Amino acid sequence: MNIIFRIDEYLPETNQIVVQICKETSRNSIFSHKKVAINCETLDLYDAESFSHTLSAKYGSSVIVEENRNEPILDDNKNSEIIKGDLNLEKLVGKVIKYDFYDLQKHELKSRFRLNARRVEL
Amino acid sequence: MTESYAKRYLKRCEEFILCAELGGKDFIGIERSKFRYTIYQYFIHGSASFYELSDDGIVSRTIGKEKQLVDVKKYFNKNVICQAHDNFYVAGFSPLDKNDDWDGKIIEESFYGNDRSWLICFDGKPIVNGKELKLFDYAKLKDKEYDVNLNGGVIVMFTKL
Repeated sequence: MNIIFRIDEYLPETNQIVVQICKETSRNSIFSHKKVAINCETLDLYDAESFSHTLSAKYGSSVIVEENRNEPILDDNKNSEIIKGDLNLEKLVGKVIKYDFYDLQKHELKSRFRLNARRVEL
Repeated sequence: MTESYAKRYLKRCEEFILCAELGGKDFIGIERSKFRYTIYQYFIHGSASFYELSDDGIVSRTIGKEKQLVDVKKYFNKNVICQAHDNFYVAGFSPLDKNDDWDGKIIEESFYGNDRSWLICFDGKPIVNGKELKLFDYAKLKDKEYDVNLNGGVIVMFTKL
């Protein structure tokens, strides 16, 4: 899944950008998402990739989490359950089981930051 | 910095992943096998021990020391525990294609390159072909001469075998 963002305005006097962010698969147009002013000092402006990465990581992911949480759940998907304790695969056959995807992401990625490595020509 | 923590940095490059870890003395980290693809580590400063965990317990140990390029291929795709002996800053090189093998060596002087190799700056501001590099700058090499002035820095050449 990709995060997309659109810079609506750049305000050099306050060093801010006004952006709209959503997931690429959003059911609403990026133009209809709310505009947010972001202080560029909170972003890594080392290069374009660092900029995209920090903007997406710091602001995009929370927008997407919120958007996903607000999406309607299909009836067939509603009766899922969280499993705990001893595992018995036979007893789980036919059940719909859920796991918090964002919790999973948090554990895997919580301490990873982007390394500022630059490709050069020699 | 004496806290027992570490911050991890990562960049996916064209044919490899460059990573770095900055941490404090006594930090103990666990890397699960499915994330452990580092084949070389360079200790910019500090030192640490690596232990491989298997069903039989701890089966091997490697000590990474300051200014050393350490071949850690034996820990590839293994469960690994890392114990820092000092505050540390370590860089790591992992192949993007897990089936590729690479050779890494610290460059000491001018050399003739080849198009299977990449050069990475792991410390200081070395000058190569008149260009001053900074930490984690990297370049794809070609079949040509490379004039090196280490200038107190460290560069490592990684060659796909």
